[in-house]
Amino acid sequence: MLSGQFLLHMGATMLRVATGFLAAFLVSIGLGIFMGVNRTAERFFEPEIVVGLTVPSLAWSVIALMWFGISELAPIFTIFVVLQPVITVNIWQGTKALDHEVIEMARAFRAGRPMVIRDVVIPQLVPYLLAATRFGLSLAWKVTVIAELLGLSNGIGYMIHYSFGIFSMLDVFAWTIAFTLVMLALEYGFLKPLETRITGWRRAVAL
Amino acid sequence: MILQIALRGIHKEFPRENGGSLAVLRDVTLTVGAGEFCCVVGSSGCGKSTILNIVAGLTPPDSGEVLVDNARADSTQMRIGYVFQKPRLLNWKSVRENVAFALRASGVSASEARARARHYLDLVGLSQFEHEFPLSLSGGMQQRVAIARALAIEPDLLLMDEPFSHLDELTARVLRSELLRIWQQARKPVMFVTHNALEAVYLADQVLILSGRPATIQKSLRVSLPRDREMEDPRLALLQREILDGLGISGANGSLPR
Repeated sequence: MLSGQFLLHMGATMLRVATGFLAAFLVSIGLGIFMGVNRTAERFFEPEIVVGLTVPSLAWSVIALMWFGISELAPIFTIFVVLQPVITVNIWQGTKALDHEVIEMARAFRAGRPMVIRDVVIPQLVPYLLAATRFGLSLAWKVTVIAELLGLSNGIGYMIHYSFGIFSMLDVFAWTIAFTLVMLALEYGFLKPLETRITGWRRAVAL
Repeated sequence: MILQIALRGIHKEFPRENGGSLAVLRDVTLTVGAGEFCCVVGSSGCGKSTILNIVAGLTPPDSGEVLVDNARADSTQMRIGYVFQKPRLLNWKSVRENVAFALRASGVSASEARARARHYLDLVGLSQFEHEFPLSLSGGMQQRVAIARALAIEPDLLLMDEPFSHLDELTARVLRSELLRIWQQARKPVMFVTHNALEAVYLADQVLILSGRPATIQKSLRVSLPRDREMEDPRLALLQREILDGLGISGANGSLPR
């Protein structure tokens, strides 16, 4: 099972996750900030967010497979629609929580808009972006596996389904565990160190 | 180099949630002379900070004008050092980067900003903390960083909005005398807002007393006592009494004005 076959299926799943996640992340950053600074946008998009958060990802998977057929577009679309409201909520809240006093300070010292965004606004959004990344990625894995199980011919989800078909408990476990290990490696090898690096200032202890 | 700041007939109202408006400043006219330390005293919430924000160009007045050396001010042309009530530091930047941020914002090159930030941190006694993050410092130290940040840009005008009101009295005393020491070297005009009458007479050449909302200058007081004043000087106590009377706070059993 390991070696060639594993890499093939893992690669297929990872590619779907990465594409869907990235698309959702980029759209959500724009939308979340827009909703955070504009009352009208907030009121307009809020129902979309609530509906998006409510519809089960299984339903989206089925709908996507019926719309797009058995293609790469189906799982990527599913990931996008499931993740987008979740990530948008995070960025939206982060934008609303911006500390306007330090922004005013920056303006008093004549900082230009690019400097205010780079040095004052983005650092305040980073914790929210990180939380969204983490939450979004974990959700993306689950969603992809469902889509693969339902109607695709490769990927981890497909292999779990296949193992179930031949009723091999060993294979089901093997695929699940291998997949979990990759996720753990991503979390502890990449996300966690990144977070420690860029939010180190928060752990400082008062004298 | 000589820089005189004047406000002429400043009015300001703020819209309210319920649709009405709140008149905050009414016909505020004042002059801060070259190199003068001017304290603005008023009860809390009377619009003192709004005056500073108008001078800084952060809040546009509804009418009236800000004059610099008798010409209409283009606030973007003035180098203004602003110290707020709270430190308002960028907690994700080191102490030195916080000071350098203001320098970079005013167009100083990165390498010069670094050197000047270090110099001014040294001036407020924080050079050994330059690589720390603000949250690891005490409140008094954070406020010193904010003062260093305002001084570092070598401002034409220094605005201070109750900068010591959140500090304990011992720390505040040290910082007040340090502020005077630095101001006496630089001799730039200072507008210092406070509700502490004793602090005002200790620091100022000129004390302006504001009325309640909508605020207007009710009274102006010259403090001509020589420098290196003592907080316990009985002459300061007399002046303090005069300010408190001006604010309508009388005697030991005084009550807050309406």
